[in-house]
Amino acid sequence: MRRLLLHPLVTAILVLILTAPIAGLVLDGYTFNLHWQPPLGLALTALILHLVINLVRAWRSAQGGAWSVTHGPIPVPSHPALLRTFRILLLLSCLVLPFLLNKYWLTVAILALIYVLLALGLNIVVGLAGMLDLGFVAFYAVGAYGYALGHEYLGLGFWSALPLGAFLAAGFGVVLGFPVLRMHGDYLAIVTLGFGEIIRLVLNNWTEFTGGPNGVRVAFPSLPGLEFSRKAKEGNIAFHEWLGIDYSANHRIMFMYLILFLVVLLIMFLVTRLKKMPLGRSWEALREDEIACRSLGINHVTVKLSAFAMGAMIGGIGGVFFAASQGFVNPTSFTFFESALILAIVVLGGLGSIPGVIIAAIVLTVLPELLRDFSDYRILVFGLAMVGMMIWRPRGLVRARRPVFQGRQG
Amino acid sequence: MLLEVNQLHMRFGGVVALHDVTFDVKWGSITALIGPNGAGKTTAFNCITGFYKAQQGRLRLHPPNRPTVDLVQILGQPFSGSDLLHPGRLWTALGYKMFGGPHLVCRAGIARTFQNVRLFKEMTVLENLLVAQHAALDRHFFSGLFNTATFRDHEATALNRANDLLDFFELSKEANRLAGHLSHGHQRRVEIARAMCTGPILLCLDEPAAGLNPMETQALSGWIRRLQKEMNLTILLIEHDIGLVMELSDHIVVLNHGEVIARGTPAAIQQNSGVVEAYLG
Repeated sequence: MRRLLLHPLVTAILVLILTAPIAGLVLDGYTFNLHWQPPLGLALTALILHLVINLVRAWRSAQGGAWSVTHGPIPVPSHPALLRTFRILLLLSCLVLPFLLNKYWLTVAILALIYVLLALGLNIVVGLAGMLDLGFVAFYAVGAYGYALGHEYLGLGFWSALPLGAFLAAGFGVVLGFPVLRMHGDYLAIVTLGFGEIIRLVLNNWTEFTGGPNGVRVAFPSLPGLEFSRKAKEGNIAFHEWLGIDYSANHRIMFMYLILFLVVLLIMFLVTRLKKMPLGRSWEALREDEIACRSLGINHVTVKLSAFAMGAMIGGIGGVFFAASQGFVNPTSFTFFESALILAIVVLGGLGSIPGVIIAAIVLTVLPELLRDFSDYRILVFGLAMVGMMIWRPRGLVRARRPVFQGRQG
Repeated sequence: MLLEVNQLHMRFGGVVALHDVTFDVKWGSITALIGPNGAGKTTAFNCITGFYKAQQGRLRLHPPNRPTVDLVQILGQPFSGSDLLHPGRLWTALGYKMFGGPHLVCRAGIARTFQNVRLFKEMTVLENLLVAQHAALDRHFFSGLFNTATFRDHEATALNRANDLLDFFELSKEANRLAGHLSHGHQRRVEIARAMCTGPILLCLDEPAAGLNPMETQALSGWIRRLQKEMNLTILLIEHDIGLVMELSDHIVVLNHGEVIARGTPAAIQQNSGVVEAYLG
């Protein structure tokens, strides 16, 4: 009890002593003026923060130390019915969302969903298979440019580019996978980092083919025979005329959001199932111990390549959607910072945890938009959040859950 | 004869780790590989289980009712000039070169454990055993994706098999705990159970009693006996606990400085002056 109150008080006094000369003394001509409000405010904030942290800690330890790792059998999730209702509500609200948002927030929502896709893809490579990939943005770029260049040169539409971009990225995943089969940890990270940069530099410098820094224009997705423009081309019908409503530029974005949402759901289903399949289990086993895997008859070559290919495929799908939603791609969207951001999402969300990664992806794309006024400090806050997370929750927001098997079956 | 080790050579740079090592493992026996530290026991073990490529010599597994497996070839050998004249042989060699490795040794029927336990620590005990049964599961992508009846059947069978093995090793209570959280003795048992999940003919145990107290060692000895008797298993083990070795094994091979200095029954080995000299110096 004493620590609960005394420590925050000490903190507050220390803050007061430290900040009073800095924030309290204001130069006025040749004299000083002492302003007490700023340091007092800071000290008070520190006091409250420390108190809150202490209270949370006390509450946690009263709960039986939930912050410490549980050593008993893994608990079975309680209230399955409640969870199901919550999921359905979440699904419905996500479906209703585009009709409530304005254009700006719709774009943000689309971006968030694209990052969810990317994070789910990288989660397979880093979270499940345990291979540190710092060049994931390469597959994102392959997907995006696959659509853009396919449209430019072959006249591909969105719907044919989607599977094609996915396969193209998966192919690149295998191409990257082969030379790095024998590498682990740091070495793997450096090679993948190089791969990411190679793709970006090729896109930037192969001007005749990719348009270089000028980028490529991309067509917006449409349905067969329907268009989302004000006036449809010959033979097509404009979407708003077909429905008999007024034209709005939002229709196109809403449409985009809904397809993307559907694809995210599909990928979520895919990844959830994969975790329960022999392939997904082999990935996780490979992350834990490669030598043991081989001693059990698992071919590490195919397992690693499949992880790379599957992760890259999801990244490629993300890229196609990115190109389609922007209407334009150029190499500046695929810098190393993007890779780092996606990796940060996966690590913050919790390696291997699907809900954690999704939450982190949404938070890390929506929060910067909410905090536009503080945009100068964005990276600072981001870094602080990373440090804090690594200290207090090294396993990420949501710890990956292990499946629990109930005794004998059949 | 189940495993034939013939004139095995292995050197690391200037150090000759194995020199002319020849011994057999008889079908249904418990064979122990002993010797002082640095004698080359683990090297021989790694050659047999495919983690090292033997530089010279023959390693063959003769499983009953199945064709003989050349344990050196399936790791992938360098191409020789004569391969070019035999396209069939070249093709096989290329296949092993690309996709060969220790996993094929396991599929041939040799399972192993490790000196320092190598479990999948962040996975539960049951998951560890399921990973090992991957070959028996329905690995078709779409049947897994849509959770078909065949997929569920295979999973349930594997789960039952895993549970049987956990019962055997008295680990049922730990089934849903993370493997890394178990005590050392339990982890050793889980590792043997996991190796058993691959359905081996020959089980290779690398110092199974290391770090166990005398009571646990006694219990382990019982389990190894039962594995041999009840599951018709052949066992090859490296062990420093001479008491355990003498009690368990039918046949002992003694290595010193990479050479076999004695072979025979426990009683014969105890009388062997060369062995006594090697151990006492």
